[in-house]
Amino acid sequence: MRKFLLFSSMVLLLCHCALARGNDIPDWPDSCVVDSWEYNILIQARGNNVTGLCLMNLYPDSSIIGTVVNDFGVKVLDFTYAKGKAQVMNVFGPINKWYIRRVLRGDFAFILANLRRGEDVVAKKRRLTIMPNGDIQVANERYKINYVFSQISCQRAQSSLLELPSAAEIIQTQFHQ
Amino acid sequence: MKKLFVLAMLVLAMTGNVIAQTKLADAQQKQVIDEVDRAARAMSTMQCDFTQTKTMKMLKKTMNSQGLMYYKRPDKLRWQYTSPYDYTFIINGSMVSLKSQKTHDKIDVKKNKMFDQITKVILNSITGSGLKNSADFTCVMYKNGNIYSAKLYPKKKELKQVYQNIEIFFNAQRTMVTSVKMEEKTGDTTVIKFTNVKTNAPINEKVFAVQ
Repeated sequence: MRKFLLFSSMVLLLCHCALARGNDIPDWPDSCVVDSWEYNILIQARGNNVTGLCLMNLYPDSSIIGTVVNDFGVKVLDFTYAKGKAQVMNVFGPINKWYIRRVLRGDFAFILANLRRGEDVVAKKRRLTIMPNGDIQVANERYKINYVFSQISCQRAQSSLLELPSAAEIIQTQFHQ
Repeated sequence: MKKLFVLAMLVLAMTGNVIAQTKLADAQQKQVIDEVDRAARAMSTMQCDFTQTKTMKMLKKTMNSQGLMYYKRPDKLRWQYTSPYDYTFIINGSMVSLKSQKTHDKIDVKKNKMFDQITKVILNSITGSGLKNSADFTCVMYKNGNIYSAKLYPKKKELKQVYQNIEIFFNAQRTMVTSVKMEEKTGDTTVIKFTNVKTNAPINEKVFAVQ
């Protein structure tokens, strides 16, 4: 009985870890983050736009863990990438369907494999293009989904923090004529 | 004896948070909701700065943004992020405008259930109105010192898909919302704090223009 309990606890623990991370990525401590990237992201599909932020961490084994949140701060999805495979999880409720997750999984595997290569890439029905302004555009030509990634400059984020006007100042300068 | 004492201290330490926040009795909850509702009805406009802190479970990271908020009763809102990026969200009746650096969308919330629900949540969270007889949430009121909060559990499918609960914190006088904490189903949390609040001052209609 004791052995069975121990065994079932271990199985549960293993299942929990697998579910939490989505694939083979270990639960790295914060100190192991090799690099962090932040992008503005625009996702266009069937006339609908989602804009927000895509944040990702790179770990020592070249795996990536990331999150997409919309401009309002609501999670759109989490993703992991390791050994050429991507997983998407915690997908925003209304689009959390198996067939959408499957397309997103494929798109993110392609995106994460090529995002920082610095050159255009074409593979089957997917195309990554470096735009003249430095944005990276990824097109899923089969399902007509477009992703645009614009890297956020840290300098810009800091300067806008310092120059943040108050509500009263904005009202006076913008709307009171 | 020593072991018992250590155990008692441990139990106390673990339940400390629970003890600090007390659930109100039904009669007291009704009274506080009435007070909040009265204050919300008396507020014609509100403008303030806000800070938003999102804690992302997956990345074990927090993300901070700041902006400006303007509200005019009953259904006008301008929610403008100014840092670290520009993004403006305007509700004007049933029309919603979403403007980022790259896109500008206009949505009629009557045609989009999810948006309709989210705009209601935002408008109600800002003033604390809609706690009374809400068809959208089950409301439980708590008291922590002289701070009251309303924890809202969504009833409708559209919101249940996104939020675990939304907690609205009020000032000691229960006349104004000071912060809102949203717990998503994914384990992420977002805390919005309002500062430099000005109420019942005139706001130019242009602020809410959906163009």
